[in-house]
Amino acid sequence: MSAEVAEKQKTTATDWEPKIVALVCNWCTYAGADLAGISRLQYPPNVRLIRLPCSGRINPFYIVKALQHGADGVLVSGCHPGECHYISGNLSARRKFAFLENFLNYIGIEKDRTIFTWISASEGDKFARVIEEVTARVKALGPAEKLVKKLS
Amino acid sequence: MKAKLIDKTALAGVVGGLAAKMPVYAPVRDGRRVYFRFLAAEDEACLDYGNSDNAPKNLFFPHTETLMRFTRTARGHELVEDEAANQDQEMVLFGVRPCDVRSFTLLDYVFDQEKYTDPYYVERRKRTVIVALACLQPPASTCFCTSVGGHPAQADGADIMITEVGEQYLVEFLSEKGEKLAEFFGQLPEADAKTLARKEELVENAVAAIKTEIPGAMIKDWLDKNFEHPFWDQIHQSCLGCGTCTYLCPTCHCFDIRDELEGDQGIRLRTWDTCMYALYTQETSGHNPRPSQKQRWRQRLMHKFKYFVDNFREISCVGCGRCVINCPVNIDIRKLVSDIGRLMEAEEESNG
Amino acid sequence: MPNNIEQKIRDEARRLLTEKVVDVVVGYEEGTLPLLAAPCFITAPEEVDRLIFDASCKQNLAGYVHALIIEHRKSQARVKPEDKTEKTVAVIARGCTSRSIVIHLQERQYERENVVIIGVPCQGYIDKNKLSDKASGKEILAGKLDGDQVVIETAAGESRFPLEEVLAGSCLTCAWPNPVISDFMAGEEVAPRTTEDEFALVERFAAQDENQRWAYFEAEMNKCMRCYACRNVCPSCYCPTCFADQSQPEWVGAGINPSDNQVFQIMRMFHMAGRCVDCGSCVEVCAEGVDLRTFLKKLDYDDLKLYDHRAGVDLEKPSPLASFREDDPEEFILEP
Repeated sequence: MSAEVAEKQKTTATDWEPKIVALVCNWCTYAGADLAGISRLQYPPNVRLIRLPCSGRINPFYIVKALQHGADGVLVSGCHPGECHYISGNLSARRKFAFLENFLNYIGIEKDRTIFTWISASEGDKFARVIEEVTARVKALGPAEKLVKKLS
Repeated sequence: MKAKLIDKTALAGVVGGLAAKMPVYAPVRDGRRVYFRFLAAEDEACLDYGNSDNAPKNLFFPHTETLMRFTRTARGHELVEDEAANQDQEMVLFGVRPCDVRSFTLLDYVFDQEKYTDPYYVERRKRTVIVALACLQPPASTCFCTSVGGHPAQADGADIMITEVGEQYLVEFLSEKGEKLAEFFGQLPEADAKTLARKEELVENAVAAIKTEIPGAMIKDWLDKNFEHPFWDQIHQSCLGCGTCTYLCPTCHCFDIRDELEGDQGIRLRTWDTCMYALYTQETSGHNPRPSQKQRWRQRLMHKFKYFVDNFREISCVGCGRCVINCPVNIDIRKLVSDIGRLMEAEEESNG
Repeated sequence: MPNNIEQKIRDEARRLLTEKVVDVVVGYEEGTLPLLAAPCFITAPEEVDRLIFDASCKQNLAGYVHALIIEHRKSQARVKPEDKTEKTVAVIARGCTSRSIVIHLQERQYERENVVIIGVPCQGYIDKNKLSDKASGKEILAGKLDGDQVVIETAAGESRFPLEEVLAGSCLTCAWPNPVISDFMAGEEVAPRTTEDEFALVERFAAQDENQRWAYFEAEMNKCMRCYACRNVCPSCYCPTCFADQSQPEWVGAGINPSDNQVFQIMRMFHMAGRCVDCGSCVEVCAEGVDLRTFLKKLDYDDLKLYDHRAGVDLEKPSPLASFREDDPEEFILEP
């Protein structure tokens, strides 16, 4: 956790816990999460994993919809470039994510609401670290307000 | 009926007084546009406008309205009382033009029938006092109310009619509902015969100033007989199939109803829909009885100039010109109706 | 009197129709309101004199080309293979229109043989909002173009101003005023614009603070009445069923809810990544004057900065989301 994030976190309400949706690839991150569990690594319980066949299968819409329907943060994680189970799904995905991340920031959505990363099946420790970092960052932002749908 | 006179400068104060007591829905200038909306504290009603960009039908029949609320529980869905629907506060619709006032009479045919009444529309309609503003300023070239049964100073349907006469406004209280608001206008002098005569003269001039004429009432005969006609193959080609014309139309009234759920809280929504969308007639099977924009355009024209006349003996167009001004591809309803008129003439000639 | 370009367009259209090279010519004709041309569809050689081309011609016509060809194909669904016919469409194309056609061709929507491109050099078109400002909100009763001047008549009298002052934002930074592909060129090519930095708009907007940017986005999207004119006029928006019309899943609510408006526009714009030719048609058709360009231009910006690609400029260069490189930039990837 960076010093800056830690500082920010202090200033936000302590009893509020963020809801984070993680869209993860079946072949790497999901197995990485398993490994983290088997290794008994501790990480914050704020994250809800959604398993997908490949990061290339992640429709950018899922990310926007998650934010619209109450997620305080969205984590997207796939295989490291070059390690895709389907050869290049993550490489196509990377371009989609780059456009989306830039665009969402541009219109004023906080940078840390959407976080993208690569975690392989053997990186249980990295999975735990990422979840910790993501939770801390989203906590520092406070509850999501932009884009959230309120029934009229 | 009482006809009173009020100074031009005093009217803004009257609107302010009304807005302090009850919701006032009035034209407000917003950048280059004028919109009907509820006056907020900092808003000032705009009274020197031609016509608003949106139609005031929004007040009675908004684009999106919540019909009911429900909660999802283990035992199923439970209805929740909606406080907003139970309001009985009076409202004022201020400064509406005669063409738009007429649109309410037309919408009433649809939403307020003996057999079927739409409680949401009727409720809001009942508790709203309509203050109309006669159209004595030079009309827009796209105005054609006189061709479709309207009139720039038509008062039918209004509770109070305001007409600009020289440096004053003539205020006519036309209904009981309207008279109830008289107190907000303060003590006003009665209008003398000279002013009333001057008003008649101004109205006549205003009628004469409307140059656009279309055979609005005449084309029904042709429409009755020509559901299939090569004319329909031409008009829709450039149509984008967007909802601009119908959403800005003061008389279009089609809607869709859907449910939305956030967590366990749900609402039933009514939203505008339009015959210009392919989705409007799309059936679950995938079949679409109006497969192309041709059928959709025919529907729009037929509905306004034939079906509505069949059902309610009135044309469902008030001649406000909003669709003419805003159509992105310049499909001009005046031209279409006139083209049909010319077709009729040509057919008559060839039949001797 | 037809101008030089118009004469050439008409002659070529007449030839194409007489020789039955094409079934229809899509172009512009005079509209019913001042300084507003309407799209038109010419199928008979004797009608070609309706065709015009000047700064009152606004929409990108490529969407019609797509619709005509695809509609025709659909109508042929039950015809025996040996009896199937192809539809050939000629279109009056300025730079942006031709780029949209390139995108269609890249995306395998129709074949190059299906379309005959009558190229026109373009000086830009009139932005309705800027024009309305020139008339101080009064109705424009008559208007005409006089060389590089616009003359309008309102109740307050006649006024005259340079065309440049009312050109659409897209036109003022247009780097491709001439068609990138064409079968016939009606007139001399004009020089691309170099007056203003194309992406100054994006950089200015991005320089604002996050909440200011959001406030602007929110306010603009709140104007939207969900008429879908922007989507329907866009040549790159040709999905048989748009996500906004899908009911299972229902991606976007149909009502005017600030969040649904935002999500609809975010996703429509996202679909334009690497596919927006900045023709400005969506901005021009919007009855509510929503500023879409400030946002769409960002995608164009990233397309260039991240992937060195410009939408529809080069038939051989695939769009960014249809391709990838192993060493694509990934600074946004978190590595804790």
